[in-house]
Amino acid sequence: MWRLILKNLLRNKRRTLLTTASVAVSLFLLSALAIVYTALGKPFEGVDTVPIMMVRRAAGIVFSLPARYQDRLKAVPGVVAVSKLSWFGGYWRDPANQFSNFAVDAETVFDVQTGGVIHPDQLAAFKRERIAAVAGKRLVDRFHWKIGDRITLLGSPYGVTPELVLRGIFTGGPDDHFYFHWDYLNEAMGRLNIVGMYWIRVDPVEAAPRVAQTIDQMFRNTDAETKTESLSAFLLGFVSMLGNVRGIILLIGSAVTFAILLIVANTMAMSVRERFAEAAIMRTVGFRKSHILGIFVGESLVLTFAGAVVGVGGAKILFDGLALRQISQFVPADMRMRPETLLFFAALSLGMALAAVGWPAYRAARLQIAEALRHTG
Amino acid sequence: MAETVVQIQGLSKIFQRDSFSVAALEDIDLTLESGEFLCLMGPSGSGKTTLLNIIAGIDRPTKGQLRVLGEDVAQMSEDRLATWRNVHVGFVFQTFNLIPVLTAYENVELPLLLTKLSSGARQEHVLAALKLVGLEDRIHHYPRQLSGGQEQRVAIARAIVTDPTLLMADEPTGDLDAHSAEEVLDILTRLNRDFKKTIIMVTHDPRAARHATVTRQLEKGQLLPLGA
Repeated sequence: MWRLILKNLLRNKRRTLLTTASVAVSLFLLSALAIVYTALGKPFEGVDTVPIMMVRRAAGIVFSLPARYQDRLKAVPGVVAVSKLSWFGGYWRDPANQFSNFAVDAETVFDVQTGGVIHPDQLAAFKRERIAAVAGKRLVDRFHWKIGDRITLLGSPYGVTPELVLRGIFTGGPDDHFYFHWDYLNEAMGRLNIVGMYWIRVDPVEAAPRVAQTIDQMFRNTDAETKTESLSAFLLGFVSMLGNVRGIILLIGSAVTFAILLIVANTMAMSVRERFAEAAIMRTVGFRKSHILGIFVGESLVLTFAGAVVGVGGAKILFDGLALRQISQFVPADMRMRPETLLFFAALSLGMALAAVGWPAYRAARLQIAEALRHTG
Repeated sequence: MAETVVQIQGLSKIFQRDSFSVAALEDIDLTLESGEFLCLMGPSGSGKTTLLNIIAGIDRPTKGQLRVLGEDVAQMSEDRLATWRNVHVGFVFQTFNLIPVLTAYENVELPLLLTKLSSGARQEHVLAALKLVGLEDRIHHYPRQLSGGQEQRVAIARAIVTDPTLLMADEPTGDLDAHSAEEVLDILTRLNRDFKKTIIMVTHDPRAARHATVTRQLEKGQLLPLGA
């Protein structure tokens, strides 16, 4: 029976190829959307187990906090490390070279952010030199930097252009980050003594809610009230700034799915209609209705799954290969195709194949042989 | 004593076309013995093909008795009829009706795919059938690579590959030149004479009718008396 299915699919090679290609391209697009959709749904998997909290201005992340808060934060029970963290927003050489760069406390940043591993000598060099900077391995690979390179950050909204020297490379953690001295930035800005936010490490992690409450209580009714939150809650704030992207993705995804369905349904309808007489001949020589139905459904399945293998497989290879781990500069997400997404596409392909061929195949299987034979030749 | 293959009594077929009823066959009585070669003749629209289809179980009578090879064909379910046709009936059509994407071999093998025969046994049957129609050297040819006469011979091979008792031929020479038509008729004659196949052939062609052992005329849905 499979031989019959394959022979029939190759009957009109161009049509089969074009339909498979249409399904493949559409499913590739749909896969890409599904990857982003899934990533946006669970952008911070595992982040809640990280004992890091963010202290920002209660009025909003665009407002700064006084630098003098650092000592008071350090004194809060449960806080084991504090680092200033000012998003700088610069680029390297070309505006296209955007990446996450922050002014931090060189002394404490790796006490807070313990996920990143840096050689002690490089860390010492970073702490020692005011114009020193460190970068994550992925970022270094992206720009082909090496230790000792001079890096000038341009285009920052702060209006200054730090000229830095790369003194260290860290692996693990947020390895697409770039850190330089907050002191340097503060000096370049005329000692305004302001900080974008504070990054604090809490121990034990269960103390986080109490620590947050204590800190926010401490600065209540000051001119710079704070909002202390977990890393995931903080990052979620960025996702919400993207608006209802998931809804839009869902809408586009549905439209693409419907378009694929129409493509396959059109091909199968044409293919079945052309072969009503052949179906009648096959019934005449002994094929049952279920055989005819099986052949047409089989063709639709092969066509759709061939497109799915190319389209979804292509998306998987591409996204897994690219290893994209952020949606934007601020929103980390593991943009790989997950097993549940693959299962979803297998089910979707099956559903589409059946929906596309269902009605024409049913008609072909149920045709009156004598009636159909009148139209042969 | 010859076995009765087809027994028809008071058979009628009425087609409903919108609000009109068209009587294609009226009160047909017919008996066909094993080994006979029956030729059904008559003008277009006389009901020849309808009668052929009803005997073969691909259409159903509106009323009347019909027994083919001892079975009440009209009462069989669709699935049982399909299996019954596969085992007992072979078809040859005017327009050959081969599957264009299958080779001659594969077209002939088609009815055998529904049997439990092994691939080797199927091959044996297919090659024997193709040899019988003189096309053993064309097994890998597609229908488009064959002449009309060759296509019809492949169709005959497909019809006989399951070794059915009954062969139905609907205008088998209608689309063929005189030479090819004669070849096809010779094969049918041989199948009747040497292999004792019971054949019912519908035709307009009096020359074709000469190959039959019995000829019956149909006119306006009625079977005329023998010899009319």
